[in-house]
Amino acid sequence: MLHPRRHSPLLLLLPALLACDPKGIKLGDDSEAHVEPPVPTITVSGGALDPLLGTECALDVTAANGSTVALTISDEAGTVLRTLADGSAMVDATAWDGRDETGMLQPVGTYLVDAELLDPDGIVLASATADFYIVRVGVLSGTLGGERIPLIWHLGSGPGHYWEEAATDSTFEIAALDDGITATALPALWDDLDVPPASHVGEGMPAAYPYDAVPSLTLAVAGDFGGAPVHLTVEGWGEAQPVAPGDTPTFTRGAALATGPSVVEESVTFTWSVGDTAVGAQTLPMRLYATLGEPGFEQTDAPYEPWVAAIDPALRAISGVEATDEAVTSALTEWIYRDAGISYDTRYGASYYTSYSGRTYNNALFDFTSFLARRNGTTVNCTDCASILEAYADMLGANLSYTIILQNFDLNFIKAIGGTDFTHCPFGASGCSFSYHAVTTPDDTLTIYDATLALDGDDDPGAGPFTELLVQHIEGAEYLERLVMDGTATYNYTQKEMLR
Amino acid sequence: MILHLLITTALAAGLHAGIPVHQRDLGEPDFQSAENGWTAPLASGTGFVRVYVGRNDAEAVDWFQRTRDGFSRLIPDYVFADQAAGDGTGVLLFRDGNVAVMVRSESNEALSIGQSLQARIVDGPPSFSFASLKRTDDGWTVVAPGAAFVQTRGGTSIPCGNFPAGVLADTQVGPPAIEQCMWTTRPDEVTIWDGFGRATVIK
Repeated sequence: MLHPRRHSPLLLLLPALLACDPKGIKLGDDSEAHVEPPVPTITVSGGALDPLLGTECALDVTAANGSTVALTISDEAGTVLRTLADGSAMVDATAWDGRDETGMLQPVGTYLVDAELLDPDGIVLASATADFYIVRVGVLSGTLGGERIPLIWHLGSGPGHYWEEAATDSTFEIAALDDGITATALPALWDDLDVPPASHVGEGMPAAYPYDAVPSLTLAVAGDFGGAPVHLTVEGWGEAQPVAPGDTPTFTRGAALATGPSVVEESVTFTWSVGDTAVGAQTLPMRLYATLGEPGFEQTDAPYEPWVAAIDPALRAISGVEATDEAVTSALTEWIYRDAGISYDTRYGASYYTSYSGRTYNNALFDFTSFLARRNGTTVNCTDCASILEAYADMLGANLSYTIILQNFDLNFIKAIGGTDFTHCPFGASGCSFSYHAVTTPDDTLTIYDATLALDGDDDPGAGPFTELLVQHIEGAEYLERLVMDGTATYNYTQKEMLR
Repeated sequence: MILHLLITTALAAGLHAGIPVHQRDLGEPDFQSAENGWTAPLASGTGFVRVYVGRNDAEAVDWFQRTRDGFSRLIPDYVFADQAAGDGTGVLLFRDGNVAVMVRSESNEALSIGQSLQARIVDGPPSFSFASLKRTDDGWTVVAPGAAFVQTRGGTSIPCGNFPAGVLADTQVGPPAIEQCMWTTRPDEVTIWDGFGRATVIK
């Protein structure tokens, strides 16, 4: 306990002195040099603490012309709860952990920091006070906004059940700020690309945007601030905003999401402050898919939206590519041709994942769900490759259609997907023709992309030597010239695929 | 199975009901669409089958031809069932009445697998009216007793069964979960599959 102190006569005189003529009071003979005694001064910083986000809050003390400092914490009724400095030594800094002398954590509210500068006899030379706030701050949920593109998890409760993450769905939620002892951590990212979580509570969800979009984040502020003037800052997402429990402030990212298609993985820090005092910080991991734009499908409902299981690996594979349809589709073509781990059915040229559901080659239905699991194996044909390329490209915001080259034509030299050599007889010596061939086009066959095969790109595509030419934005007429050795080949059935 | 064979024998001249979708030597069936039928991997992991049950022979003929057209290489005719193509080793495409099947076998057993599936074809009249979309005071429910799977498209559904919260843009579940689900706005399309792989579409 502090001893009762007598106040210095000088301190008692100080208000009168300050009220006096600022030029000074004549205390002696004008003719003699006079040195006034130094004025004792003390200041103390206020503070704020969220005991579940931080362990203590530093209190800065600036004192001059005294011997020792006493510093106490009192509640609003004036009851001293804690002595942080007992007046036995000079102190320039200390900290309060929000607990009284018995170690009991004090409730949310406003407290008084009382600092006194003492002389060697325990006489108070100067004093200062400041407010200290104990608060409980946090967010219960957050929702990304802006030009958000809905995402789909394609195995909601099994194949064919698409679980749509609507553009207005929360990005993360927690059930409660704390359990009374520890603060609830902001959720980790949901990592399963196929299956959605049963609930958003306790999960952090990815989101998708056009690469040049500027996302916003609306937070649901909660807690008990006890009247403290709390500000919330989202690092890199604009200025600090004053907040109160129940508020839903919106922060806007300081820059466009990305310069091109990519996966933006970053941790966003929420910093809570009272005045200049940082109360605590929370970190939210985020995964934002930056696509070219809205999906290229004609339909706009599920499943014709980006599948997480599709765009995640695709964007990682083509990251760094220029943000144009041509560049993205070309990169996807090469990725599928070289790295998808699939190979052409050189026995039958049969489709493993796509069926035509109308007459002839109309209404191709691509079983993307089965393909992602390689449920029917890793052998494919041209219909499959066209379906695969169209699905990935359309999901990333490019726009492809499939088209069918008919019919029964002999081949120049090609190198089929998964193959190692050029051949003009992909089915063996007696199989040197295609009954049909499926490719993709963004512009009604003016240009062609084909992940099924590479052409011989030199002046004579019908004979060696061979120069590998991936089919990336090749004019439709040139494509046929390089592909077809003999027979009539024309583009037909140009249309969008269906997806499941 | 014995019952199925007896029915097959007794009603050989009529329409086929289909092939039971759950088979010991097949993996889990995957229902594609009413026009495409269902698929299942071979349990051995060496291939897969596609099965289509038409409402009549003509629909199966159409499926057979479309599927055959999907081969980049012309596959020859094959003598099996009512209509067949392939080589009987890696691939066999056949039609038996209103049922059409494609077998892909990496172990060159397409013919024996096809024969086995043909033997499991169950006869019986088409039964495409066992399900309905029912209006209730609160919305819409699917009534599908005996359904193997139900697919829906469109509509606004509320969480049910093991479905997560959120928008159920498209669902495919087996009963009884589907009958616990409700749509606050009418689904655009409901496809109900029975245990023989027949699909009924309600629009």
